[in-house]
Amino acid sequence: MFEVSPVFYYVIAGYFLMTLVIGYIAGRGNKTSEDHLVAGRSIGPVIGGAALAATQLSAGTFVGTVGVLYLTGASYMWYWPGMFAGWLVSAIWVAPKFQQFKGVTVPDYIEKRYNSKVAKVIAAALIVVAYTVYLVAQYVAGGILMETIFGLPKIWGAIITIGITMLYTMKGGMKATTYSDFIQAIIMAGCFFAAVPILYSQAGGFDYVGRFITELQPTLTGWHWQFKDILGFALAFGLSVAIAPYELARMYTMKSQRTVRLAIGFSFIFQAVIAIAICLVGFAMRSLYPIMNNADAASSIMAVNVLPPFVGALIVVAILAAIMSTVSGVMIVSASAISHDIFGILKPNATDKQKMTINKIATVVLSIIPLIFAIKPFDMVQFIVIVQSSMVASFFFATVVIGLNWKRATGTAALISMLGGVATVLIWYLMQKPFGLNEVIPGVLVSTVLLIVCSYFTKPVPEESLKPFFGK
Amino acid sequence: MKRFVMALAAVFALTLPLSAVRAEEGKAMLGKADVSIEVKDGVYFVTEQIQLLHSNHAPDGKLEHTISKLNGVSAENLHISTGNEDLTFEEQDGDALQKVFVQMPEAGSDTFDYSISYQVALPDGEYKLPLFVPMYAAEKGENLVHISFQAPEGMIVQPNSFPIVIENNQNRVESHMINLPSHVSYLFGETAPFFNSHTLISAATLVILFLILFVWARVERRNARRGA
Repeated sequence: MFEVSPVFYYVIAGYFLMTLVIGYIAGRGNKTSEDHLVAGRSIGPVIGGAALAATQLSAGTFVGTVGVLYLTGASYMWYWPGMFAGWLVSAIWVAPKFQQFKGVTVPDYIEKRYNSKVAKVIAAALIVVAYTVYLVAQYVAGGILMETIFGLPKIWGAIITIGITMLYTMKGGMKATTYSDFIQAIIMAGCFFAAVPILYSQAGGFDYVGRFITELQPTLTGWHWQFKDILGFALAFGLSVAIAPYELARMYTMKSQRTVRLAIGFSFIFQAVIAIAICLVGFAMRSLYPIMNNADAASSIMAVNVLPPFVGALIVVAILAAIMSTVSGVMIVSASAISHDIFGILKPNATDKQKMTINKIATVVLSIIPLIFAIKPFDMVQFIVIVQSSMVASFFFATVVIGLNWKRATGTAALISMLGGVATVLIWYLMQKPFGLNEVIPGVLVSTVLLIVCSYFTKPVPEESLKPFFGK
Repeated sequence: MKRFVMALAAVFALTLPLSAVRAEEGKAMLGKADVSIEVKDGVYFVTEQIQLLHSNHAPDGKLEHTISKLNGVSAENLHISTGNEDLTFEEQDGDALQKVFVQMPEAGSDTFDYSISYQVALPDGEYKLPLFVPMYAAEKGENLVHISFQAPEGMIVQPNSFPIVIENNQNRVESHMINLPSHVSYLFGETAPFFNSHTLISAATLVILFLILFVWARVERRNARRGA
């Protein structure tokens, strides 16, 4: 536990209060499930862009990535172009069509495009399983952060962070999530960028930090990672971000196709600012602390030991914000998969009110389950935490990117492609990643080939299903 | 897929006990470090009491340290000892940092305590004082590093120091940390003015954040009126 200034308590309590107020105010305007799940399709480009960035940036960015940059240096930055390429794919071929479709969930798209309720339910089930387990990682991160900064037991740290996220998500739905994401993105980008001049002033300046870390470990400013590694990271990030359901669900919330494209542009700016800032943070921290017992603690140590207490407290808020924005985005997508997709299929005549009630119950249940896994992790949880992102990418990439841009893709081929992609990921991982390739690469490759080849041998989907995506 | 890194971090956390045990068995680690700094007539007198665990794992019995050469400042009268025995060391000079390899006595125990003392003369207006950093990670995520700083008589340590000083208006301050920094920068003066670099930066950050929130709230209200 660190010795922290009381300012940390005030700032973090203020932040929690602010998110709850946003949740309450946003929730007052929600009359229907469409208001709740897609914010009444009212979100503009700046707020939307900030929300896309905030959802994408998780504790992984501010804890894990800063730690990796601290340990391995600048060459790790080369995964960002891969992620930006993923955003470009989304901006050109995916997001505008999703907005135009005006669905509510990603499985909605699967059902309509491929004319298959089975595919919709499978997609919803995968989202629920993969994302619920994925939240374990965020809970652990929240627990560790609160324990490190305030000395709270991990479990209480996780309960406080996730409990507040659950409350504002449940009350305010997508609008609260998007608005709080906006605030969170401003805090994340603003504070990390503001931290850089202070950090470098303490560390001795840019020139000195560069010379120091180069002499300490030349690979920090050279090449720590091989081309194969960087390609793997870049593809893994890019393929995932282009079709991540928690990002695609945000496209439904925006006003128009132009708004979607502009929002992705703004999200680029937010992410570029943060990418540069965290890289500089990693270097300066290596110069200030040439060795650490846990590189993942670099951001927290910066907040507590290097920065003025108010700015340091905001950095902790930024890390919490990264966790909370990802959790709320994931929670809303998972809960809607249950209330809108699975419950909607099981009970086609369900009223809007019933769906809303199920959604709120699902939000609570899906918040509690990862907590149990976080307390008592077992092998399968760890396994899914590692491969869930690859599974989701392999499941959705071909069916979304190709399905939105190629009329011939069929429902049967989509099912084979999704299941084949996931199976490939699992097999590749269990084979201990032959050739050192990240499992997402063969997963997406196999699902793409299966979708294209099987589409030529299976029954095309009716013209009616293609209309929302290809017009007449 | 930043989530991939997060996943790795989570798995790391979930398997932490296992990796910690492995680290304890196979690597020299920092057990504790007690750093005492005093300033007299512009000269800093530094003593570092260091305890290393599993020190027998250090290759060839040589313990690696770094010391930064920030602003060209270097340590004088360097003395490294364990108990009453002086220890020999090799220096490897660089442009921005110096590496110092301390030779342990041959019949050393697994836990090795030693002391490094030196003096540094800093020019007026310069406060960044380099520290010797044993290149071994702390054993636990606990505050194993203790730094005490005694400012010259009649002076008080400023809050915009590094590491951050929580106590106000003290002549002597203490910091408890997990890791040893490459340097410290304790600013001191006869008074601690309220307006310093930290308060100004904090105020500017607060104003900018409120400004953004204010503009956003106005835009939202305007849009809401238009919608109505």
